[in-house]
Amino acid sequence: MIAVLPFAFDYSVVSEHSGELLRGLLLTVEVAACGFALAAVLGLPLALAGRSRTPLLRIPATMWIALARGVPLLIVIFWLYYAAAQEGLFSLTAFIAGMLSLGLTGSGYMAEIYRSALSAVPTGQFESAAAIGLSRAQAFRVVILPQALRTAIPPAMNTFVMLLKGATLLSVIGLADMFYAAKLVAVNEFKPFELYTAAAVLVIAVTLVAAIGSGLVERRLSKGVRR
Amino acid sequence: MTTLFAALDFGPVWEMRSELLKGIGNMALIAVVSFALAIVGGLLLAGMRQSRSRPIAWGGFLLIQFLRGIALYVLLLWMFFGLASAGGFQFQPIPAGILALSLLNSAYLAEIFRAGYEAVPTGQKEAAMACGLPRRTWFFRIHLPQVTQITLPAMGNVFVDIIKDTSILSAIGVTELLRESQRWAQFYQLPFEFYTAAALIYLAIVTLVTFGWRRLERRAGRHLQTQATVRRSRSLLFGIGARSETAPAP
Repeated sequence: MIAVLPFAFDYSVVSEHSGELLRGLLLTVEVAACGFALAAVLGLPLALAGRSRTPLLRIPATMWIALARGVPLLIVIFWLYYAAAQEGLFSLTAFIAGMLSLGLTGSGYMAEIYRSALSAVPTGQFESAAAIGLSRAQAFRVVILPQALRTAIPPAMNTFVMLLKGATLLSVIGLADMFYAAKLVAVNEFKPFELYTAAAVLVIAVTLVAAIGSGLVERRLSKGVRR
Repeated sequence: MTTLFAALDFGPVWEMRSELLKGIGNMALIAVVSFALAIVGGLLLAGMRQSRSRPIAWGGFLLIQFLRGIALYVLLLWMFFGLASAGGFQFQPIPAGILALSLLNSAYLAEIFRAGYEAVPTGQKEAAMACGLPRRTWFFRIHLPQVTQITLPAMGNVFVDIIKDTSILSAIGVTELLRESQRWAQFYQLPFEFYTAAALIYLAIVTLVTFGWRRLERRAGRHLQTQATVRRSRSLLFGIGARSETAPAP
């Protein structure tokens, strides 16, 4: 296969720099995981506020979700990293800026996922929880939420994969992640084809692992309902 | 708070409006062309997956997994810089961007089309056959309209994603909205103003497209609407100016 390609693929340059690439990959996964955790934590109160009857909670939550889903990630990154610093609001390290931008963008998606998962729980569950004397908070915590979370897992993993792919963008603000290392070596050694191919393979490998992992988690969580 | 933002100067943003508009124009062009190509690609990939020939179906499956797994930014740099250095094949920025966007999104659309194709109840086909309709009539008059209706909401999400992802093309020098904003933010040393403006413009465009798409969805599903929902939808914001056909009460 390789032999028929009209050019030579120089493996040595990839293997020489594999240490940097893998270290960077760890950072990519780390920042994506932190961002996803932030999104998962922010998403639930957002979803609840979006379902609230008081406009005081509902309207800000709806606007937040629209903002998080409507503004491209790259602009959020630039905004947090350059624009906010210019106004002296705060100045962030690349890692924190990256984590925040992934988390804020992801929170809108996670809120939508929680919302649809919550509304997928049959109303009978609320009613029977009330009938056996559970308070609203208890019913939510022990009856509704566990069922909703199960529905939320597969789309949440999609969001994680989305954030993981978005994390490659963080190299533009100089986060020394996998893709930053690939770009650096590509320029220094003038081997962009080899390095970008390696980067692509790594990204696909990680997203595939995440997809397989989500399948396993989903099976584990649906144990109670599987026939 | 007021002293903090006292130094804000949106004047240059307004002065550069024609440049930003040019960026928006490029963005619209790229997004629409990529979406159209992605639909074609998505139909092809979905067809491959449905194929009776094992190797073709597997090829389709692998292609979809591969395209769904790769990040747009990585694919863009690979195509634009990697291929150029390896094969001496140099893309122009805009074609490279359109190709990358449509390739990645065709995989998403393929999955959407497949799900939509399978979501139509088999009874529909059986009923059509029982009525003696030819297969072609069944497909175009019975099946396709229902598939369209099921898949439209998800397709709208993909379109919005494409619009947002055009911002990533700035990395290979496509002069779309973000690239223009970046350029003038650096020129005037006003990143806050230009990036905020860009964010708001993106938000406005995405909101508008979402509203427009909802209307399209409603139109595709209008045969399912009750009289009440039809009347309500006419009175919404985008129902302004709609013809007021008052149907006689049943």
